[in-house]
Amino acid sequence: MEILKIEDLHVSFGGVKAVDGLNMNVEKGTLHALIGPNGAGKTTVFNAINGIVKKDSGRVIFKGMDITMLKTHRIASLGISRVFQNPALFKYMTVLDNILVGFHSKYEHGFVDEIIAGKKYQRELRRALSRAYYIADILEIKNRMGVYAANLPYGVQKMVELGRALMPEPSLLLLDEPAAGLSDSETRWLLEIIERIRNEMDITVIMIEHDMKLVMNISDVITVMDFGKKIAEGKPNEIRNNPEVLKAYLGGVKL
Amino acid sequence: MILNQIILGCVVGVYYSLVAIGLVLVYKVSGIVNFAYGNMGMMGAYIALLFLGKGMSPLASMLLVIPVAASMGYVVNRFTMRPLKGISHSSMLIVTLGIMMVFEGIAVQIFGADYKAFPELVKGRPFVFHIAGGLVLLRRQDLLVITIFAIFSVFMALLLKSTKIGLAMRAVSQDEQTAKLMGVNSNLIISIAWMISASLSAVVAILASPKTYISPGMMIHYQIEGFTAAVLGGFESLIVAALGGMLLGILETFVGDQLGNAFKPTISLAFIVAVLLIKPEGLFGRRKLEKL
Repeated sequence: MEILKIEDLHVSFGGVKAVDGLNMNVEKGTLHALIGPNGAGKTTVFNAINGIVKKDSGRVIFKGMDITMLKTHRIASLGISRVFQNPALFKYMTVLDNILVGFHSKYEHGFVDEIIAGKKYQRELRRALSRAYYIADILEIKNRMGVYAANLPYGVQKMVELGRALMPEPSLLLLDEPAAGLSDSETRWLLEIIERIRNEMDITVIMIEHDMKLVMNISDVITVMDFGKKIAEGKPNEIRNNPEVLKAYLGGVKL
Repeated sequence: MILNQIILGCVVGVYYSLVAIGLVLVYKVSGIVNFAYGNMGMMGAYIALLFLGKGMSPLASMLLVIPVAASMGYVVNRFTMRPLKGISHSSMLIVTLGIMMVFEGIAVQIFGADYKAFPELVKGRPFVFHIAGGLVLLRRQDLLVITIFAIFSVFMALLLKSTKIGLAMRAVSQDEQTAKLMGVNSNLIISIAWMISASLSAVVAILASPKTYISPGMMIHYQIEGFTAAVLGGFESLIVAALGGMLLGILETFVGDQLGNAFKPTISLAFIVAVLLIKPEGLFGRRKLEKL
C-alpha cells in the first residue's frame, strides 16, 4: 500500500524547472531514498510535499488524501515530519522546549484547560513529556534537555531536530541529508537509529542523501533524479548497475 | 530625594513599559515594528468614551473596549499585514506609519480634534508617603496602573512559559517556517499577538487619558517613549523592554527635575540615538548568533 503518491509534479522558479514532471510512489513501511546530483530538485520535492513552495501543476496524495493545496501547518499535523539539511532549531529555546514544539499538533487540550490547569491539561502534559523523554532516550540526548539549542555541537543539533520531528508520531518522515556533516561513527549511529525508526516506530522514511554507502546499505527503494526528472527507480542492486544512473550521477565510477 | 525621584519615575515609566511590551510582542512574533500601535489604543479610548456616554461606568467601558480593540488588531493584521507578508522591514514600517495616519484622520473626522476628558477609574484621595525626608504623592490611578502592569506581566510570563500557545509563539518568533512544519498555525499565532497588543494599547490609552485627555494625537508621546524603551532592550525580550520603560521614566523624572520639563522629549530621543550608536543590540541586548 502506498502512503505517498506524487503525480506529475511541476515546480519552477522563474525560468528554471526545478521539478519537471515527477511521478513517485512511496510504499508504507519502507525506507525510500531520493538521490541525484546537486541541483537535481530533491529538496524542492520535499518542499513541495510540505507545501512550502508553490506547485505549478501535479498532485501530492498522502494516505489517499489530496494534500496538494493544503497549508504547511495542516500538512504537518496530518503526520508528515521534516528534518532539514542544516538543523533549523529554535536557538533560544532549550532542547526540551524544542522537542515539545514538535508535539504542538498532538495536544488535545484547549486554552481554558491551561488556565485552570485541569486534569486534561495535566494528562496532556504528561503525555508530551513522556514521549519527549522516550525519544530523547533513543537518541541519547537525555542529558542535554536543559541546554540552549544554539550551544550544542552540530551532530547533537541534528539529533535534537530528528527528535522534534519524531514527537508527533508521524507516519511519514522526510530526512534531508541526515548524514551531511557527521563523522563516520556518528553516521553509523544514525544508520542504526533510522532503521529503528522504520522497524520499531513503524514510520515510513523518505531520505535525501549523498552518502552512497549509507544509501545502498539501508534503502528499500531508491529514486534517482536529474534535472528535475526521475531517471531511475528500483532496489539498491538495480540502481547500482543502472547505466543511466552511472552516467548522470556517478560519472561512470563503478561502486 | 533620589529615592523619591526613582519612585515617581517608575510611575511614569510603567506606561512606557506597557507600550513597549505591546510593541515588542508584535515585533518578535511577526517582525513588524508597529507605528500604528499607539493610535489603535487612541481609537480604543474614543470607543470607551462612547460607552461612557451611554451611561456605563469607566471600568465597564474599559473592559468592554478590550474585545473591540482586539478585533481591531485582528482586522489590521489580517487585511494589511498578512497580505503584505514578505516585503522588506522598511516597507512594513512605512505601511504601519500609513495606518497610523489613517487612524488619526478617522479620529479627527468622527470625533473632532478637541480634547475630551475621561474620568479616573479609581477616585479618591492620593496616597502620601514620607520617604527619605521627602514626600511622594501617588494617585490611586497610578497604583492601579502598576497593579495592571504586574498582573499583565505575570499573565504574559505564564502564557509564554507554560502554554502550548506560548511555546508556539516563541517558536514562530524564532523561525516561522520551521514552526509551520511542526504543525503550528503561524497566522493564528500572529493574529493572537496583534490582538493582545491592540487590547493592551487601548488599556494604556484609557488609563493615561485622565492625564493626557483623549485627542487624536494623545498616544504619539507614548508611542515614541515606548519605542525608545523597546530599543533600549534591542527589541529582544519583553522583560528588558519593560525594564527599559522604567529606566526611561526614571531618566525623564530626573531630567524634568534638574533641567526642566521642556527637556524631557529631547533627552529621551537623544538617548535612543546614543544607545543605537554605542550599543546597537540594545542596552542589555545580546549579540545575534548568526552562522555564516
